[in-house]
Parts: sequence; C-alpha cells; structure tokens
Amino acid sequence: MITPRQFLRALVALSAGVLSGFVSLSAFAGPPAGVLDETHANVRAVMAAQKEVTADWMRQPEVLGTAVGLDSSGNTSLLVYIDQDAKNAGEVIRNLPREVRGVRVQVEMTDKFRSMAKPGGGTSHTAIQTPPIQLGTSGGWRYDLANGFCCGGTLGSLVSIAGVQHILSNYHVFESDIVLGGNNRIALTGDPIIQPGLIDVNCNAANAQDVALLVKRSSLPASNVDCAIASVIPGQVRTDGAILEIGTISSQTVAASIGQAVKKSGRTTGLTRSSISGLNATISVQYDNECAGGVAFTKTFTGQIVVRNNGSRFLNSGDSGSLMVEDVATNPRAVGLLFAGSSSTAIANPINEVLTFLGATMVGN
Amino acid sequence: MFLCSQTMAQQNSPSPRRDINEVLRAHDKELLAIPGVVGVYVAVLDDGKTPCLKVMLARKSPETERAIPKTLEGYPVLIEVTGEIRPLGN
Repeated sequence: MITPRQFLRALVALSAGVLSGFVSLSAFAGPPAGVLDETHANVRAVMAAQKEVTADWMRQPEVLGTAVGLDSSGNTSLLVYIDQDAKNAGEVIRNLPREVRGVRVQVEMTDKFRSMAKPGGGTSHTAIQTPPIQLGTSGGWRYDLANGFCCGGTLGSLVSIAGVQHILSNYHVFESDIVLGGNNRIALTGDPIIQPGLIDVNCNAANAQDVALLVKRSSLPASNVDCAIASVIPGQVRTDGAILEIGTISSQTVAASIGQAVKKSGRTTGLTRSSISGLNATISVQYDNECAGGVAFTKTFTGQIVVRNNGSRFLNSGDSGSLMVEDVATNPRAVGLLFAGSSSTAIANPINEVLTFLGATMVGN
Repeated sequence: MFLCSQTMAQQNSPSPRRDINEVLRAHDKELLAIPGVVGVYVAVLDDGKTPCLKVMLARKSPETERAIPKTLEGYPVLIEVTGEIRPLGN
C-alpha cells in the first residue's frame, strides 16, 4: 500500500525555469504498476518527451511549464501549463501535438505560477495577527497535539448564534479528538481555539494566541455536516467577520449551482478560485479519532457540493474550515463550508445546512 | 450491488423518467457499496447542459468500472478517478 506521503515524497520535484517534475501526479495509483517515481518506465518515457519539447514550447510566453502528470484515466501524460489569461492561448493549444513520442499531451489552463511562501501575493494566512484578527487564517484546538504530530486547519468565518459571535470551522479541526489516546485529552467545551494553529508555531501553543472558546456541538458522526464553532473572546476577532483577501461578506447565503464561480480564503493555499462541478453528492469520508490517530468512523454525507480542485490548487491540507463564497468583488454570499477533498476534487457542505444545524446566521453586510 | 439484468434494463431506457436527483437518491447506496467507489454526484456533460451522474473512484480499476452501469434511468453515468476523499485538516 502506498501512502500519499510516500507518493508525494517520490514525485514532487521542480527544476529551474520549468515545472519538469511531478506536481500534478496525485496520491492514487493509475494503471502503471508500482511507484511512479523517476525510475518507472512510463514516467521516464514522459520525461524523455518532455526534455525534447519543453525548451522549444516555452519560447512561447503562453506556455508556463510542462510536467509529468496523470490523465483522467490514470495514465501518465505530458502536461502543458498554459496561461489562462494569455490572448493567444487558443492558438497555442491548437498548435500543440496530441502526442509526443507516443506520450499523450494534456493541456491545463492555469494562473501564472508564483512563489507560495505567502499565498495571495503577500498576505500571510499563517502568521500570528494583531487582534482583532481576520478570518481565513490558520487556527485550531489549542491541545491538538498527539502521536508526535500537531494538527490544525482554518478559522473560516464568523457566525452569530442568538446574538453571540462564533468562529465557524470544521468538526475535524476543532473537536475531533474523541479519545484520550496520544495526548491524554479529548476536546471539551471551553477549550481555547488558537490563531495560528499549532502546525504554524512548531507545535508550541505558547507562540499562538487564544481567540475563541470551543462550544462542542458534535456534528459528526450523527449529522450531515462537518462543522464546529467557538465563541469569540471579546476583542480577539473582528466583529465585522472580515476574511483575509475577501473582506466582509454578505449576511445572506446563496445556493450552489453547476458552473458557479467561487473563491475561498484558507490557511494553506490562501485566496483561491474555482468553479462548482457537481451537486447533491453522496460522499464517503474517513475520520481519525485524534491528531494522527486511528480511524474513528467513516461518514457518508449526502447532498454535498463538488468543486474542481486540479492539483489541489483550490483546496489543500490545512484549508479545512474555509468558507466558500461566490466569486464577486463585494460582500460575497456564502455558498458552502469546505471540509474534504482529493487532489482533483474538493467537497463542501451546503452552507444553509450548516447554519440550520447550528441555528446560526452569517455575520456580514 | 448492481445486477447485470438491472443494468441492461436501465441502459435500454429511452429517456429520463424522473428528476436526476431522485435517481441519485435511489441508487447512491448501491453505487457506494461497490468497492472503490467513494462518491456519486449530479453534474453535466461537456456540453454544459446535459445532466449526468458522476461516480467517483478511489483508484482506476477495470473491475470496479465494469460494475458501474453506463446509464441509470436514461441518464449517462460517467466515471471519475478522484482518489480517496479525505478531511483536509493538517
């Protein structure tokens, strides 16, 4: 059995000027047997084709890079990243061959690549903020440290319950520690929620700040939403519910629709945009019983929102808890609560179902 | 699990008979019971308008793909290899 970490360790690579590694290979195995590292015959075949054409193709400014990837059938392919904002992108794509040395050429439209050290071109979603904090930032349960690891996620947005403001995130970010296990603790109402999360302060909570107190609602495993809340410590969170790089949102919500443009602000990938590819999903998701712990339960959700997540560019580990909103410039309406996914697909609870479960409304204009 | 006879009958359906969301609700448990299936959802074909069902697989598997019907009650059923769906805490 190959774990995602083994895969990523084997596959992620970059070389100067060209994305010549494996950034789009995902954690699941396709038809080629064995680990898809540089020694695999299929990968070597793609790399040979890549070496032959990349320098030539990249003379065109529309071509941002090439990589070894997997197509939707799980076969190795030569990925060509095309600048989605380039005027001549269509012509460049038409002139690309369908195959090089028998290797399928696959086009992927993308933003221009940039350093991800500070997502969103300068706004840090992991640094400790001067209170009152904005949301869309790293955070989590203060004691989320067990089995040699610490965990966290995103403090996504602000909701109001009977006039009291609460941070909204996921059950598995705030309160999924349900066994004494590796830290001799379980998550309890009143426990501090910190910003940033332990993962961004070397697992040392003394380097983070308390911003809210957990109000345990145990949405899982019984309900159909992966949500959790924490009551705001006065003065620690902006009362207008502003989210990093999104700003304030609407207090109204909007139902998801296929093709709808959406965005989110999260701990790992910052501000990212995508579109909704499916609705009413029935999805099976496995949960741990604590940070890096054993399997607690497998939950089957119904009625979920499916979002395009090619190469985990929209949502990645640590972004759980992010609020997904419509992609408009001013006061966007909430669409869903992001909580799960893979390297190709992100999943969100419909926000209205979350709010109904909590008896809450979004804090916004 | 789907039976071959059921699948064949469904493939012969001339046109959709009920709302696709009802069709999904009627069949999602059977589809999720197929080993390797991690999800199913309502989507549209590449034409941007024709409704279809998409079945999400943890990994590519000819055996799993054979167990999934090509259509359900007249709606196309497409297979998508998504990988396992996991909570995305860190």
